[in-house]
Amino acid sequence: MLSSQLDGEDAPGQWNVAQQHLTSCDTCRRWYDDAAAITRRARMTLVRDGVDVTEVVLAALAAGPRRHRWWGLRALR
Amino acid sequence: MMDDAQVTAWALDAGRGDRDAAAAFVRATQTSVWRFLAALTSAAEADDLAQETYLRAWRSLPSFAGRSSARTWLLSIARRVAVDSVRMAATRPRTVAMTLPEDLVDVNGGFDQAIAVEQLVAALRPERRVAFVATQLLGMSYEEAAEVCGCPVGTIRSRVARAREDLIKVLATGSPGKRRGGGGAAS
Repeated sequence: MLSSQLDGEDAPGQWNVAQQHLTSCDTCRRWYDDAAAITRRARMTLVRDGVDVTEVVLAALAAGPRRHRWWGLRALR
Repeated sequence: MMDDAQVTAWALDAGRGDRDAAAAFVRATQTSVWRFLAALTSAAEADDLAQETYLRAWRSLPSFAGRSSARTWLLSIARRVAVDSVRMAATRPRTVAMTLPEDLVDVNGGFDQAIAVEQLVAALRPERRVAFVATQLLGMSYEEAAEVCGCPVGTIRSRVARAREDLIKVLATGSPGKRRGGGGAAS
């Protein structure tokens, strides 16, 4: 419930119940803080990009998607 | 966040042979596809697998009717490409050692580094990693992630929660629960 709240996916009304619990339970409060921290860090740091594949995959599309040319393309590497 | 309706329209046009729409579709989606694949396999493999994802997508474009968003449709293909790749890799001798959580303890204090978080996510169980990456890294709703994974929304909910639990455990103790002290060999 605490996890889905971090994603805005908790059911309506659940958050009130959870908040009440958090005020009285150190373990859950610590878990919630830790979960929020790791979530924030993961969202911010896992950002890298690959090469632009547009031209390569368009060429494959032009070559005909049903001829399974791509098996050949990969095998040639 | 990209406009899902526009991306889906491009996919449908691409299926009718519109090259410009196909190019727009690839440009709009390739970052998500690459990041998803990099997290499910490795950054080194993601370039090749991204290409393969689109090639498979082109093959099944004729049957894509736009009932689901093209983005979730494409990422479900990417997920299968990643699964096939991991399966094939399992039949080959492993040349790169898996990163075990124990190894990560050594970089403790350096958890602020992006690479450490990447390694922590990479050490998650595959099904939890997929759910975590789809919802946190790609910003998908639980419903979209469920579509990509072909599982119920409740399953995504619990996998994301468990992924968070695992990450917290590793950060707190350097080990996800009972794997602590496991040495070099993952059992």
